[in-house]
Amino acid sequence: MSRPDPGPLDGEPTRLHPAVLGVWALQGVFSIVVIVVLTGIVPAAGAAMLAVIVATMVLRYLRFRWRLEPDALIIDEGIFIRKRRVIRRERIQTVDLERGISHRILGVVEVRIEAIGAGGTEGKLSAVDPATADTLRRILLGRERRAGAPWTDGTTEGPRHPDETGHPDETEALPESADARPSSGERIQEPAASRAADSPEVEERVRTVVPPERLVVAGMTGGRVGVAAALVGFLFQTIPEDWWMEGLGFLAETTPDPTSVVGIRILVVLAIFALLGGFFLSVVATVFTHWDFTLSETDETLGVRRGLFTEHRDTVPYRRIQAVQVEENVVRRLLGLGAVRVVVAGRAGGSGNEGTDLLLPIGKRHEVYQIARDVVGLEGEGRPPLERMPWRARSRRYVRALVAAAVVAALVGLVVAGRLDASWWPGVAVAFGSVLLPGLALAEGAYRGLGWTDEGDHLVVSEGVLNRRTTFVRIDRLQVLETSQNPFQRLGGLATLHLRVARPLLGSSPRALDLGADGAQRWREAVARRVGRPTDRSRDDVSATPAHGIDEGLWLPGV
Amino acid sequence: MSWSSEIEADSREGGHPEGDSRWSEVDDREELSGGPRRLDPRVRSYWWVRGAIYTVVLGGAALMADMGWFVPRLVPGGWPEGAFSTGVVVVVLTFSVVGPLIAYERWRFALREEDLWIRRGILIRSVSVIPYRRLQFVDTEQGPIARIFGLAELVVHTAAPGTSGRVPGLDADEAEILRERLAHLEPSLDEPT
Repeated sequence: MSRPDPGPLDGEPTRLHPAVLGVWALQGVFSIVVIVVLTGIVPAAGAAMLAVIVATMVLRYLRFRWRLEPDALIIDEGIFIRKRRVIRRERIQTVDLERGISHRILGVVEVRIEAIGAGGTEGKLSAVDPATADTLRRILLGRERRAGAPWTDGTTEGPRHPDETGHPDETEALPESADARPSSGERIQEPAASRAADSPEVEERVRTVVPPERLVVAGMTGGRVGVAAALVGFLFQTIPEDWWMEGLGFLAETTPDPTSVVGIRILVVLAIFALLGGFFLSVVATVFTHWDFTLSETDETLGVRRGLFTEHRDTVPYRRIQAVQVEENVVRRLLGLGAVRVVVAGRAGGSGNEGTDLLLPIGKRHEVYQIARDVVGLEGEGRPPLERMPWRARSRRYVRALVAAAVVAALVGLVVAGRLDASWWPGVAVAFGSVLLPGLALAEGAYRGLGWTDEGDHLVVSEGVLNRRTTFVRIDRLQVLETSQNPFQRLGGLATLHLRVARPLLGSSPRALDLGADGAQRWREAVARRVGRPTDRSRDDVSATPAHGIDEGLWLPGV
Repeated sequence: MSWSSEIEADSREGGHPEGDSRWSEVDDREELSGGPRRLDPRVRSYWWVRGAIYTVVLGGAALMADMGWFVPRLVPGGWPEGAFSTGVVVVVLTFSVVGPLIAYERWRFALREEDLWIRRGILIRSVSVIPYRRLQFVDTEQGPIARIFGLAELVVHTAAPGTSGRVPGLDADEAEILRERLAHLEPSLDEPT
């Protein structure tokens, strides 16, 4: 494939695809409807507004230029205030393609570029033709050059080292390699698009496709709604039928007194129906947004394709993945299911980006852990056996449950002492017990949810009872190690080890909660030593990174 | 080993639980270069002055709410005038006087072989270890009050969001020297461990 005219990929400043006008128009359908209505009432005002909107759109289109330089993507835009945005390749974390309904009608895609250090999406190209978008994504996420080769020589895809890829057979087929090509810094005058398209490494292997029925299960067991629904189902089974009938029967009554027992019952029934409605909607939403969820991989990137109406194609290079997390909430744990997320710096979790961090919305336990292991390059299979925290961590949780129960009992006791006669005192004991028993069960669960292990190049930590999160961190992604102790932990001789990685601003760092204080400190030192002075194996990768930069050593899935 | 004796442990002890080879790497850990250091003692005065300012500001606000100056009286009617603001001043003043003493006792930092080591915290105590290899940039900061005392703050950043470590209460000249030293550190990648 060769391109007759130099395009944006060859450094030529280019407008967006003209279809972007249609995309913006379709996305602005609401305002257009408003204008039409207005036009019906006050024709002049409506026409004026329409003219302004159309003019703005056209100006925005005319002012917008983007181009790909060897080491950066450059976007010029702005109607009144002109902006130039230079997104350097080494800062780019992920490139996501999105096709909403309007894009589909017009046959274009939107490209979103997420970069480190940005609050939201750093670069957005609202409409690009699909082939260009694909090539752009490949170039932007392509392997950077090794040490010695200048960054600016981005017209060749970075070469790969057989040791690093773990796929020696494929690597030998590659025509270009760092060792064969002197890093002279000269520009290769070959259109970027044609070269990237010919490159054999773009072959994508489909790893998993999630069938629709699985997505229904995902929706039914996902998040808080799933847990709440399970509780409701439990209630339906345990509460006698006539209770419900009574509640429903009184629904017809006008203005129920909320203080009466019947009134409360009606409210409860209504609330449960609202919950069921929400549950149903959430299942439908999950199925739609994750429709045809496909996880694929190349040697350097992971790709996710999903969505029924709005199609997403998200791509994350392995070397940008900071950590991988397996999520198993209570319901899913019972069913032997889980989900996998990645932690990528710079990809904001804000609006429009929900779920972009999901590698698999639902999967069987062994499958989910296999993906997590492969992505971080940890050999073996299944959930790694984790070390338990010391007994004191369990005591701490039991004490917490006791205190919570005591507080509730004390509050009930105050009410009883103030208002009711002595025959109500057993109620205090009931209150205490009814908080204590589930509290203790949660405490035990929370303790069992805690765990840690050190696999040399990888650390695995887990916590959580209602939603157990098992996080896999690679040593070479760690930025700062911190042990901390709050006063309660101090009492029990416990400490938390925080494993700080580059992550979205709002995300939380992986941590090992409630280790023994001793162990936490020793572990911190042992890990810090491996980070500060990498082992022989990771030293190869380090040579490819700027001295003080983030370690961007190659991170490939295990073979 | 108690948490409070950790500083000694960090610098000298390299022992590991018997039968657990996981910790064996700790054994040949280098000594802290120069050992852990305290902040400049002047930092206490700096913190006290800062605390005095907080006390004045918070006490003034409380007094306004208490006496109903410029704003409607916000304190329940039953309370005698002045009680609320006195309480606020006593609490804030106590923290401002005692806090710096504890914080100063607690603060230690060390430039170790491979990393910057910082211990701090009054209620939530923590030890941060920031490998030099991960440093992105290093700043010194000096506010107007700190300038009066000739103090400056060293701030280090890694790729992790936010500030990764700060060392307040350094002599201004020394902070500069430390900054330059950290900024020009070349990670020792050559010799295998």
